Amino acid sequence: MKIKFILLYTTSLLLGIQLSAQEVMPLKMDSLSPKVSYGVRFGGDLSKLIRSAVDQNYSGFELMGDLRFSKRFYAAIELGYEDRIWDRSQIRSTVNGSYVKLGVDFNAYNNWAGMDNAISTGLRYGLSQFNNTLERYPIYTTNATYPTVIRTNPEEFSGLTAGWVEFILAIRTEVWSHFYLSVHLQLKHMINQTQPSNFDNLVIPGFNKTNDFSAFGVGYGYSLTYYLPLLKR
Amino acid sequence: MRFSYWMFLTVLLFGMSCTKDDLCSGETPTTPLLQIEFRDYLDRDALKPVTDLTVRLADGDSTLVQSGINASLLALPLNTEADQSVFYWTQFASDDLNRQDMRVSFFYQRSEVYVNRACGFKTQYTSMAIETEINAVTWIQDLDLLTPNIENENQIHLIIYH
Repeated sequence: MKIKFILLYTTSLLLGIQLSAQEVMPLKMDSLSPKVSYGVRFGGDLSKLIRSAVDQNYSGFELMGDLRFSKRFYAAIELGYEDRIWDRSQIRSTVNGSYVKLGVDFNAYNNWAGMDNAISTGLRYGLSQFNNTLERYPIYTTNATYPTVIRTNPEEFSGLTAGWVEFILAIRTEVWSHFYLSVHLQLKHMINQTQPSNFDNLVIPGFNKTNDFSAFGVGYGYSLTYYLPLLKR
Repeated sequence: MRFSYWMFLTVLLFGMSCTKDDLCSGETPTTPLLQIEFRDYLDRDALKPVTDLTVRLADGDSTLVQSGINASLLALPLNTEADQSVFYWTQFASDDLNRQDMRVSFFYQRSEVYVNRACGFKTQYTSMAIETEINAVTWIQDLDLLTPNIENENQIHLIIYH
């Protein structure tokens, strides 16, 4: 039953129902686990490595780490690099650049003593610096009288930046001593981006695909991390 | 129960990623056609349809653009690859004795404008100028270019009096 309520809680967070974490946190749980392990976790995203191997229009990696600073809260960081090719009939462009995400994770899962699994929600601020090269495009016409020639003079826009907030939902399980697998889904909202003149950022490293009609984006990850306990209290 | 919650979340998240990104909507303004209206030379406010008008490109193949036009409105494509489009306009095209064949040339400058990821880029035309051939069967009496900039299709750009 408890897991059901936790899931209810996390879903209602996602759906925007205003609940403060402090109100819902059961305070009496402390008595069940006498000592909590504090430490750092670091690792990388497996899904980006797999995608790099499988998808020839993608290469990228992400390193991540977090630091537990209270029973339920973790300071988290992700660093990554992505090189992507947007290849559709109307536009081909390449985007490459690096990103950093900083934020906090909240673990809503009540572990048994000594365990450190997680069903967590997190917030990040993401920042990316990247280059966007428009490689080729035809002219879109609704009339086929004049065949259009594909333009192939690459136009590069460099030093572009973007910033966004990201809401994360993650499940993390210890699969081997000190090694954890986690799956996470991300919902993002663009705050600012430098727009290339007479073009657009179709994908942004770290943000994933942008949306022509709204500021929202989505992403996912599958990561392997190592947990290094530093102290118990 | 637990499974269905996660399914719901997953569908919600991925559903949000399905957008109008992949197909260029017909409602999105892309490269405009030149919108022409035909009016009566003697009664300049009255529409006057053309009769059996055929439009061909003045290229080596005389590529057919449109034929059998019996309307007072004509939407004409302009070349996206050159700063001019030259046509042969033939009224009474099916009538070998009375056909009226004349050359109409459009000169302009082009700019290529980003639309969105589904449509890509469109061409807009500026500084439009028109030249009509004067010959024995010239049927165009006068013309009125309402705007030198052809940027959308929602308006008449050119009125031709005949």
